[in-house]
Amino acid sequence: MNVDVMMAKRKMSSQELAERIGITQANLSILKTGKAKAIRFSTLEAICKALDCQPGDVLEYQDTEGTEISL
Amino acid sequence: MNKKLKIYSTLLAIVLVGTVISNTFHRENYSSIMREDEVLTLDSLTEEFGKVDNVTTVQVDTVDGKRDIVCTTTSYDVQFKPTFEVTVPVRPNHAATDKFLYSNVDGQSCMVEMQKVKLKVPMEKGSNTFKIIFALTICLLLPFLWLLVIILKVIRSVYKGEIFVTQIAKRLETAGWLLVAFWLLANVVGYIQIQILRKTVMIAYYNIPWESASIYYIVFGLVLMILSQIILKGKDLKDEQELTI
Repeated sequence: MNVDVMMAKRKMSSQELAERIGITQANLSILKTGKAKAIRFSTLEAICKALDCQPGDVLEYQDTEGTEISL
Repeated sequence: MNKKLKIYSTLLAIVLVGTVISNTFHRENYSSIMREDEVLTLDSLTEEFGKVDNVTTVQVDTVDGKRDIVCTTTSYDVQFKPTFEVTVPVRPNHAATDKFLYSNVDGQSCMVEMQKVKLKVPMEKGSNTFKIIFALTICLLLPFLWLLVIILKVIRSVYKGEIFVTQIAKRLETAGWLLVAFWLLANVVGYIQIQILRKTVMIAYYNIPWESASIYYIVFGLVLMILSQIILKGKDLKDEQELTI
């Protein structure tokens, strides 16, 4: 879960990140656990802006059963 | 496209096309030429048919455009000692020449052919037989009661605002299968009832044929099944929408 990694690097809490992105902590949790079906470009942009990183830093492709992209 | 949705839609199309073809084939040699101001009155029936209570509809079918060749009427009440009532379709085994319809337009008469007869048969006459018929009729009520419960649950869910949920889809699919099951059960029960009636009741010059239950039970059942698959698809879209962050 690269969001967690980036959050740790930036020493940012879930609550603070959620507030900066403008989503609820519940939705941030959905993103972190990989349950989200899709992510808006605006949300991704907000995450990158809040964590000062590139989309590639938080997105990672995993070849599991049901191919999916996790954050 | 969902596999079940494909199957149900195909079945519905087959049933509808089959019904249309069947109706067209059935009616192709007949045409009604009854005039709007024409009133047909029925002559008295012979004693074996009992008293005629009411004639709800008089439908005139013709062959080769001539009204006086074949005429049909529907819904006669036949009374014995009324304790048990059942409406059965009948088919003449030869022309009943002693019954006539008279037209007020040109005074012409035509032969009467009964299509359905409402029998009121005393229970004491072969009581076991009619208890069986009664029990079979009650059997038909069970799927309907189940269907009623399902419909009430669906209505309650809709009032709560839960429309695109798996539960409603499953209930609608069950309701659809219940209607199909009811159609099958109605055919089986109808066949048994007719067999019993044939052995118990004799109508002079007429047979009691077996008629299939209305095909619209299957049509409505398939529509409910298709609706259930559409709701499932809607639920997927809703989930996707809700899980887009």
